[in-house]
Amino acid sequence: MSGNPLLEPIHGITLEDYGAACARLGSGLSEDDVAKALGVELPVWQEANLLWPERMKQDATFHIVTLFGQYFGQADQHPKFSGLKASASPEGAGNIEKIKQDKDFYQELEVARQVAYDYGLDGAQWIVDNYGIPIGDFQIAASLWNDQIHRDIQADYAGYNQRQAAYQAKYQQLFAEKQGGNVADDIEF
Amino acid sequence: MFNLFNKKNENLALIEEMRTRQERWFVFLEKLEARMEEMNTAAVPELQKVFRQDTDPYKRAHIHMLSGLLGQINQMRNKANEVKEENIVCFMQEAEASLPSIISSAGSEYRRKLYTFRMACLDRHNVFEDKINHAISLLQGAAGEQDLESAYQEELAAFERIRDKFSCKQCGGNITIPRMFFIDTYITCPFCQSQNTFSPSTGARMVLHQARSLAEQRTAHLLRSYEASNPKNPDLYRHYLRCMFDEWNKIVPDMVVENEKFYERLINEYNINHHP
Repeated sequence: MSGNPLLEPIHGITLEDYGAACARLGSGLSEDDVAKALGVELPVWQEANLLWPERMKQDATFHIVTLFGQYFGQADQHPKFSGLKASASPEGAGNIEKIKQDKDFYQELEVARQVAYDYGLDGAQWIVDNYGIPIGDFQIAASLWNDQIHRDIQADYAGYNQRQAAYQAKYQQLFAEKQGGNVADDIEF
Repeated sequence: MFNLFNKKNENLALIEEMRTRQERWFVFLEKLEARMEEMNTAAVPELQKVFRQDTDPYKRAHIHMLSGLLGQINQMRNKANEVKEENIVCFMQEAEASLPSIISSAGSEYRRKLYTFRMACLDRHNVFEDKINHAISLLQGAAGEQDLESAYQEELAAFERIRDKFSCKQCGGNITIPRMFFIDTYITCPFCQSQNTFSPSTGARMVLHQARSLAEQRTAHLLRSYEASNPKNPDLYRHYLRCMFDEWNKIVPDMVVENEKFYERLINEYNINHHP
């Protein structure tokens, strides 16, 4: 392959397979579905699932984990997984596509997810419940937008911060209202 | 508003404003601190209870509750920072701009007054920040450490109870599971050589995920010895790391080869950063 022994397939499962498989697991497929798509039995998949993360831990250059992230984000293009998706509601399916096409939508939900955690909610589950976007698809969107957002920050740091602050204020208000306010709302200067 | 220095070069309105503003700032922070303490007093026993009662091995109910409480503490921190910026820092800048020249006696005197005001307000804010950090530590440490050793021993005992209770799906012969497995594993029937799949319990699977944390708990005293050394003794850290991996390997012997490769990476990185 590349001469790097850490990139050798494990029981025939390449890192590309593994990245796509993990993305699909995060999107709601079962381990049985994933093993079947890869053409292996469950114990074989589980051993690969155990050993690929070990390879990432052994790699001091972070090359394996970087490639993994890239393959995770490209799961839709993987020949064994491109047609295989967990069932989603029509609205959920629309949002899953939207978050991969619309950067602002992704950025807003990323902030919403974090603010939800700050209010004691499971942020990832909140996204599933309200938008039908499973964690796997959310992470795919994250890997798709990561570089672009990094460039945006370099180009206009203040503008980026302003948008983030506006999203934050919006969701802080939303979650605070649902909980009857923050504990120190009544304390004023 | 504050640039009304009279003929005697006095500005009593500014002095009064500094006094009341400082007083209001102190009272505001005191109220936040009192609310924070009130919240923590109620939250700590609740956190402990939720942690104890949460049967989820990842303790997610506890994590979410803790996260919500920390979020409220951060709300208070942000609120104080906003008030500081708008009502203390901006006020100081505005007031300073209104002072007579620094070389005049009034300019020099009022700058000294403003400096005293500034230091009193910022010092009080530092005290508030210390209390915030203390409150965060209290919440984070409230539940204590998960007892991974007991959970592990329970899993070992459970495995001993079931290891002889399997039969071959092909010939029905008794199969003894040779050792604890943490993922689905092929087991060959000693009678007909058929391949059977052994599926470990959820608890057994968790042993694999918690093995490192358990090894860290077992060797925490060694890490503490290193951290207590002054100056930091790298040999103590190396000793800790070796012992931690030895424990990790004892818990999941099937992972020795992989763990040792990981150990090599960590110790090499450590040695590069800490020359002997």
